[in-house]
Amino acid sequence: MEALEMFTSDRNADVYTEELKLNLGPQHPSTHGVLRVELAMDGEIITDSWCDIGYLHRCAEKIGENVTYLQFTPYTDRMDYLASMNNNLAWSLTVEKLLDVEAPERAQWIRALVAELNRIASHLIAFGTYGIDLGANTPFFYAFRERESIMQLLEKISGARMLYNFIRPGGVANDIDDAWMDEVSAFCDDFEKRWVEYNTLLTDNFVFIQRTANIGILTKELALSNGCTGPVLRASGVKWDLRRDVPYLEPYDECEFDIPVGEGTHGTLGDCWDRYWVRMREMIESVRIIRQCIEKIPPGAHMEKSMVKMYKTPLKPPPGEAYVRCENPRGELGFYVVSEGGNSPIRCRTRAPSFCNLSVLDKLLPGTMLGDAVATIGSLDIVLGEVDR
Amino acid sequence: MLDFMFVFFAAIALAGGLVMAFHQSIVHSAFALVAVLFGVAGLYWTLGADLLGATQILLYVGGVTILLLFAVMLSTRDAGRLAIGRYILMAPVLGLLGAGLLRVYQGVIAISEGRELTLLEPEPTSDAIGQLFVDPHGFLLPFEVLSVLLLVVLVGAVTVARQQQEGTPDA
Amino acid sequence: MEALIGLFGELFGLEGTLALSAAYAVCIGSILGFVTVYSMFAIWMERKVAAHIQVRMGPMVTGGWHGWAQSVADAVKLLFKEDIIPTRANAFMFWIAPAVVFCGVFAGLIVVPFAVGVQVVDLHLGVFFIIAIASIEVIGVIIAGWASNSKYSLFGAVREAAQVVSYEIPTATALLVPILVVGSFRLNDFNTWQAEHHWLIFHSPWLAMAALIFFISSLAGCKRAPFDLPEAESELVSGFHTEYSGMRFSFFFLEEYTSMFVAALLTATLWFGGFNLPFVDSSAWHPALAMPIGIVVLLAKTFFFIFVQMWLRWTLPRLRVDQVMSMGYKYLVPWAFVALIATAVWDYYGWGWLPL
Repeated sequence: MEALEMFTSDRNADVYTEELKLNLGPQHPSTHGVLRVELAMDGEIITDSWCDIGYLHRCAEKIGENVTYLQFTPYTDRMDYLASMNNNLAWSLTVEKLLDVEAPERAQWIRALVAELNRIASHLIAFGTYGIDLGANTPFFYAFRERESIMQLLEKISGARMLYNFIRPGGVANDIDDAWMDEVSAFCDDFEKRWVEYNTLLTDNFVFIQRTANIGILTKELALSNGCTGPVLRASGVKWDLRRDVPYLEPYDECEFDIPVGEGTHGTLGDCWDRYWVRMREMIESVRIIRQCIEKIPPGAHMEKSMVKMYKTPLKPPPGEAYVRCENPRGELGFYVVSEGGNSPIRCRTRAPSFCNLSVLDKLLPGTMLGDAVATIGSLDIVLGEVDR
Repeated sequence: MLDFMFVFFAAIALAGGLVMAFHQSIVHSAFALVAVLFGVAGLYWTLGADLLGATQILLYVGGVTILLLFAVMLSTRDAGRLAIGRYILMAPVLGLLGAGLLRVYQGVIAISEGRELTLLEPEPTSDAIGQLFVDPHGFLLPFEVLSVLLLVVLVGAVTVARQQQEGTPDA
Repeated sequence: MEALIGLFGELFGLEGTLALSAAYAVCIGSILGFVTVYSMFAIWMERKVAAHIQVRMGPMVTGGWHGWAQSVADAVKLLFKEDIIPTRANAFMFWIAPAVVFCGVFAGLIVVPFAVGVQVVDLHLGVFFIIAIASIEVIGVIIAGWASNSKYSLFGAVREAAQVVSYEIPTATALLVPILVVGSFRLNDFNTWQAEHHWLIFHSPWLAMAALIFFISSLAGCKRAPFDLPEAESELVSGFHTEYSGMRFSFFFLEEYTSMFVAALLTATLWFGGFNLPFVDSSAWHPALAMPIGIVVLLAKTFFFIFVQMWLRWTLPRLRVDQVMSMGYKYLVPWAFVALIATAVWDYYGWGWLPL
C-alpha cells in the first residue's frame, strides 16, 4: 500500500491519467482458480502488481501430520489436481525412502508410464487454457478431447478420472495388462498426429506469436533466484530436469528422451512463447518415454511384498527424515517428512512448484499491458490447489 | 409530420442543453452535450440539410464528444463545477445574449411577415455540396486550406503526444 | 413504403400524416421483429458453428431438431431474469445505455434494400447514414461502462470507444471506394449498377482490397474477435456489460448481432451484387418473383459473411489493445487511402475490370 501512495504522490507531470487499481481475481476467468492479483494501472499499462494467494488453503500439510502415511496419499492428489499421478509418485517415493524400501522394477516402469501420461494430460490443460486466456477458445476443446482419452485410460487402471490415488508407497495399486498397453500405444499414435494439429491451430498462428513473443520475459537469473523449476525454468534456457539429472525412477535412466529448453525462437529467451513451446515439446517427449516404457516393461510384481503386509497395520517408519523431489509437469515437487516412529509424520512439508513459479509474477508484470498480464499468468501455468495447498 | 419531428428534435436539443448547463456532475453534462448535438443534427435533417445532419452525427456525436468524454471521465473527478454564485455573476451576460437572440428572432419575423411561406420538398444536398467543394469558384480554396490546417493539427498532435511519451517505451 | 401508405389508404381510409405514421409503425415493427428473429437464429448459428469448429455438437436437445429452440428458450429466460441495477451505479444512465446502443444499429437498417421495393426509406445518403447513425452506439457503450460503476466496465467502455472511433476511419474510407465507382450513396444504386455492369469486387484489385479492409475494420466495429477487446472475456470478464443482466444484457447481444448483420449486409450489397444473382439478369422479372428471390439471395450472401465472421472468431486469438490500434492506423488506414486514390486513377483512365 505504501508503494502505491508513493507512486501516486510522485506524479508532478502537468497532464496525467489517474491511476486505477484493478482487482484481477479471486473470481476472474483467467487467473486459473482463485488467484488474486492487485494491479495498479496507468491506462492499459500495469505500473505495479501485488500477488495475493491463500484463497484455496486447505491445510494440507497440517492434515498430513494428523493422518497416517497411507491416508495422506489421496490428499496429495488434491494439491496439483491436474497431475495427481505425479503427486502420488513424489509422496510414495518419500515414504519409501523413510521406510528404506524400493518399489519392484515393474512398479517403477508402471509409475513412469502413468506419470508421463498424466504429464501429457496436465500440459494439455495448460495448452488449452492458454488459448482461452488469449481469446482463442477452440484449442481448449481439442486439448480436452485428447485429455479425455488419457483420463479414460487412467480410469481403467485406477478407477478414478482425476484423483487417482494409484501410485502408493511400495508400488502401484493395480497391475496393468497388455490390452491396456495396446490402447496406450494406440493413443500415442493418435496423439502425435493431433499434436501437429495443435501447432497449426495455435503455435504458429501469427496473432498468437504477436501476443506471446517478447512478453513476460523471465531471465535466467530471475528464474534461478526465485526457485523456478520445470518448464518455466527450462524456457529461460536452463537445462535442468530431475528426470535426467537426478533420475528417481529406473525408466528415466534407461529411456531416451530430450529435454526441451527455450530458444527464443520468436523473440527473447524466456518469453511466454518459449514457456508455451517447451510444454508443447515436452508432451512429445513424454510420448517417447511412454512408448519405450511399453516396450521395455519387465514382468514381475507391481507391489513390494513386504509392503503388502504393512498395509494391514498402520505404517510406522523408523524415526528419521526424508526429502524427495520429483519432476512434476509444473516443476520440482518435493515432500519433506519427519517421522518419530508414530502412525503419522510429525512434520510434513511440501515444496510446491507452482508456488515458486508464481513468485516471479510480481516482477514480470509491471510495465506490461493488461492483456499481457493474462498471457503471463497463463504461461506460468499455476495450479492454485498446489500454490495454497 | 415534419412539424412533429422539428418539435421532437428541438425538445431533445433544449432539454439536453438545460441538463448540460445545470447538472451537478460534469460527466452528465458531457452526456447531455451528446443529446444536444444529436438534437441539432435532427434539426438539420428536418430542415433539409441531410448531409450536414449525418456529418454532425458522425463527427460530433460519434467522434468529438467521445474524446471529450474521455477527457472528462479519465482525468478528473466531479470537481471544478461552477458554484451557484458564479451563475449569478454570469446572469447579466446571459441576459444580454438572450436579448440579442430575441432581437434576431424579431427581425426574422419582420422579414417573413406578409410573405407566403411554401414548404419545399427537401432535396439531397450531397451532390451540390460536393460540386461546391471542387469548384474553383466555389469553396475549393477554403476546403484545401482547411485540409492543410487539419493535417498540421494532426501532425502537431502526434508530435505533442510523442514528446510526452518520451522515456516510456513505445508500447 | 409508398405501397404501404397506399394500402393503408385503401383498407382503412387513412390519409396524410396518419397513413404515414401507420406505415412507419408497421415498417419499424417488422424490422424489429426481423432483428429479434434474426438474432435468435444468429445466436443459434453461432453456437452451432462454434461447436462444430470445436469438435462438439452444440445445443442438441431444446426444440428437438438440433436444438433449434435454444435461443428462444434463452430469450424467455432473459426476459424473466431479475434486472439488477448495481447499488452504486447511476440508475438512469444504466437504464438508458442499452437502448442507446441498440437504437444506433437498429436505425441503420431502415435504409437497407432487401429486394426491389423492400425498403423502408430509399434514403439518398444510404451508406453514409448507416455509418453515421451506427456511431451513436459508442456513446451508449461509454454510458454503460461509466454508469455501471465497475472498473472492468469502464475499461471495456474506454477500449470500445478508442477502437470504434479509430476503426471508423478505415471503414468509412473503404466504403468510399465503391461509392466513388458508382457515384452515389444510395444503396439501391449499388444494386442497379451491379446488375448492369458487374459485381464491384471484380471491378479492380483496389475494390477487392477495399472490400477486405472494410470487412476487417467492420469486425473491429462489431467488436468481434480478433478485435473483441471491449468484452475480452479473459481480461475484462465481460467488458462494458459486466454488470448487466436479464433483458438489458440481451440488448447488448441484439446490438452485437445486428451490427454483424449490417456489416455483412453492407459487404454483400456494396461488393457482392446485393440482391442480384450472379450470371442472371433479373431486372426484367415480375416484382412478385424478383422480390422473394432478391430477399433470399441477399440473405444468403449476408449469412455467408456472418459465417465468415463467426469462423474467424472461433479460430483466432485476440489481439492486444495496442496491436489493434497499430493495425488500424498503420495498415488499414493507409491502405484504404491507397485503394481510394488508386481507384480514382483506375476509373479516370477507364481501365476495364479484371478478365476472369
